[in-house]
Amino acid sequence: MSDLRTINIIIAGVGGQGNLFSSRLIALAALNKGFYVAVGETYGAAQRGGSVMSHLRIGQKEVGPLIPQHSAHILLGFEPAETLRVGASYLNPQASVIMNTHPIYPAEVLTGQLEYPPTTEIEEKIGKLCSDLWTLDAVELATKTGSPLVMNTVMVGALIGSQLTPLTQNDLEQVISSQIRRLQKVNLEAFKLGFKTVRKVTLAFS
Amino acid sequence: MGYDVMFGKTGNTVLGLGNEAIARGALEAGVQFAAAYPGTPSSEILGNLALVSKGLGIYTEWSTNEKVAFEAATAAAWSGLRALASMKQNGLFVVLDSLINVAFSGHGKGGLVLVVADDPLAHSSTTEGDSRPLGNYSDVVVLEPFTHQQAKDIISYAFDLSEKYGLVVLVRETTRLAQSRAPFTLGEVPHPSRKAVFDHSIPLHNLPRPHIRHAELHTRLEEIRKKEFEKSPWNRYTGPRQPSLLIITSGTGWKYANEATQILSTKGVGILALTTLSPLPEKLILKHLKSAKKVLFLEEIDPYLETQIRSLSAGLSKTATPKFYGKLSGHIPSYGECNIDHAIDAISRIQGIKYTPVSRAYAVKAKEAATLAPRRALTFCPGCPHRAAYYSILQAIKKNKGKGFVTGDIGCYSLGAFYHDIMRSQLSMGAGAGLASGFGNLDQFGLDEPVIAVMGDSTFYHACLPALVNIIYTQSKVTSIIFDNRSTAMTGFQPHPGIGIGATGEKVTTVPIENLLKGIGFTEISVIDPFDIEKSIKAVYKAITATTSHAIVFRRECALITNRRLIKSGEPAPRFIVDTDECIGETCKICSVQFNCPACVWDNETSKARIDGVLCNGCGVCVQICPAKAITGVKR
Repeated sequence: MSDLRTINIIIAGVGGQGNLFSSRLIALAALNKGFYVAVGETYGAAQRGGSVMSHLRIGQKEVGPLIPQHSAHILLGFEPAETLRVGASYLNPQASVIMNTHPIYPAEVLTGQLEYPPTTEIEEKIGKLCSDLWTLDAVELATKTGSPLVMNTVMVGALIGSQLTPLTQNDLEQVISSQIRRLQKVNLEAFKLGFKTVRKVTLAFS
Repeated sequence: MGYDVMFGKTGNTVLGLGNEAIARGALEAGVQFAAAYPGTPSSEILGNLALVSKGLGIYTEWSTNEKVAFEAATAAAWSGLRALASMKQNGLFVVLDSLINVAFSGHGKGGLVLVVADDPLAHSSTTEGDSRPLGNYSDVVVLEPFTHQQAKDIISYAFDLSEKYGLVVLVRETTRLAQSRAPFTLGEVPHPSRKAVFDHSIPLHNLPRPHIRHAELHTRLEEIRKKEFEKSPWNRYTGPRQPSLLIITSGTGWKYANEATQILSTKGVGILALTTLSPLPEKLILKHLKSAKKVLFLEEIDPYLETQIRSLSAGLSKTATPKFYGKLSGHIPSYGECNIDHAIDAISRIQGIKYTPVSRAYAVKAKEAATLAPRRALTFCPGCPHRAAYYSILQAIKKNKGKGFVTGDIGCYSLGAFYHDIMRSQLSMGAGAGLASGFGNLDQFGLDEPVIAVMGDSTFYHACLPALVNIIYTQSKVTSIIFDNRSTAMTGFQPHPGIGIGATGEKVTTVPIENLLKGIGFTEISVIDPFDIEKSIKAVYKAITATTSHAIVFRRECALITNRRLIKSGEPAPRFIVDTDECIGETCKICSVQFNCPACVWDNETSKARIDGVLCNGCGVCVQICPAKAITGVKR
């Protein structure tokens, strides 16, 4: 495990899901709170349906943009297959995973050339690779607020609701209010919904 | 865009990209002229400078290519201004001839700084290229920052050096600095008021005896090495006087070295982080070599420091020569990215430390689990005009009894390499047309297939023009196809000469593609909307079966730009549905498999096609290609 005072978060998803934007929101909240933050992004084809992964590191010390393999503390999965793909390299038995269960099918699955496994099977595999797994249909929750596009903000809410980071509801709401103009209300609602959904589960277990 | 970075107040700590730090650094250095050609991972430098340039009286341009960008910046420096050119590593390859000449000739009183963003692991490139040895080879000064703060601050230093010693300064960064975010604190932005004056006192040529200039250049480099770099505060050593292991590093390697030694809790490691990479501070390095028994090099792409420093060590006695580890010894892979995992692996092997973040059984289980995730191949976006254009080219080749092949180029349309393998080449910018020019003259040796060169609109201006002139001049038989999506889409929608918009969004003169083609001597030029499939197939077939060289401009705006505009205006995109009674089913699959649009979903349960309303961008091409006329538009 890397420096214990640094929290290693990975966001795994697909181009167009707002992965990079979410990592920036969380990073800004951490920066405002006086933490050192580093955000590394692996994309290449962010807008062309490819896999996108952000490495987000929050701590006291200046660290590099990349998380060592099997050293993530939290994996925030925006898409099931991507969560599994990334999890296999970065998870460890102590890690936590928060995952959106709504799949985005690769082009070859959509056109009937490849098969996408049942989400329950993916969940089972990931469950065996980590300490805790929270699952939620963030797209469905986002749709409730008025737009499926704010799925990413639901997930940010879920992350903060899990209390796995030193960041609070207020820290994130401030950043969302200052960074998002268009759809600000919808994003704040989405954040709250994700927060509450995971918070409820956390409380039930504690 | 980095508004916080570019407009932020002095003293603010902001979270920004390495490229934004460099752009801000240029502002703080008082840059007055900046030119670039877009290329990941470098594009945000000029993009951000363009954002503030009008307000601060700075000139910015997206040049037609990197060589022109560098030459334009050289003119500004010659006239006394501080000038910057930025590019990715491939850009430096294009600039090299001019760069070496300017290194010899000097560039007047203004500072001239070249920022090059290298792309280890080729995340968004076709090769891995290292600008440090090229800078060294070109006799320019090379600096490489290792933090975001340094990336910003080093630009002022680079300009000071360039003006003091009359040398070009190349600042090298790599993807993990350029494209990662970290905090840095902003400095003051001056209001530069230098006037441009043509300097008649010095000529920018090396006549009559270039070798004399070469000698003078070496003298100045030697001076900068002694006076500046041997004692430069930009180079940093941390660790004991006699380290058990000395890590010599530049760029991102510094952070990886620090973290890896902490993770491994290895004691007594010294880290020498070098920022002044050419000329190297030889005395400083030798002093450290003498204090160490083992030396590991952590650097991005080529073993540049490793080879330079190993040759430097030839002057040491046998007992004073440490053992060297790095890419040459196989402790670090000789390709790809330098990352934290490679650093941990190398240090643990050298120091004899066992590092197992997870058990072997866990690692095996994880690897096995990953195989469940289906691969996610790159494809054109739904509604992408390139897919439609390639589809038509495929149909035309099919109609020509399968005869014909495509040479490709650099841009979004490079994904043609994955689209039924239609694109057969992708080398440097403009190389598709150059290759085609050669193929088109091989008929006398028996080559009996028509060659089709495809090129993007921005690429057309960048480097295709000389090859197209060659095609006409040598009477090569080529079908030249320009994929004009009205933008440099791949790198973030920068404008180009064909659309009448400049770097800051201002209206400028348009240089139409078809006018250039006409001027070159193409007599058969057609401009076609690639969404008109029938017309497109006809035009390509006619071109590849003709005896003369045809040019086709497939003109249709990038679907992402169209989409953004529709969202902004609130106007709905056209929608389509499949009549499942009409859909032929399993035996057809033209829309999903052949046309291969992600929005043309294959429904395994019904064995019929379905249009995914969320993914569909409304191009309507599927309506035209469905043989059963099963796809129709939906009225709103």
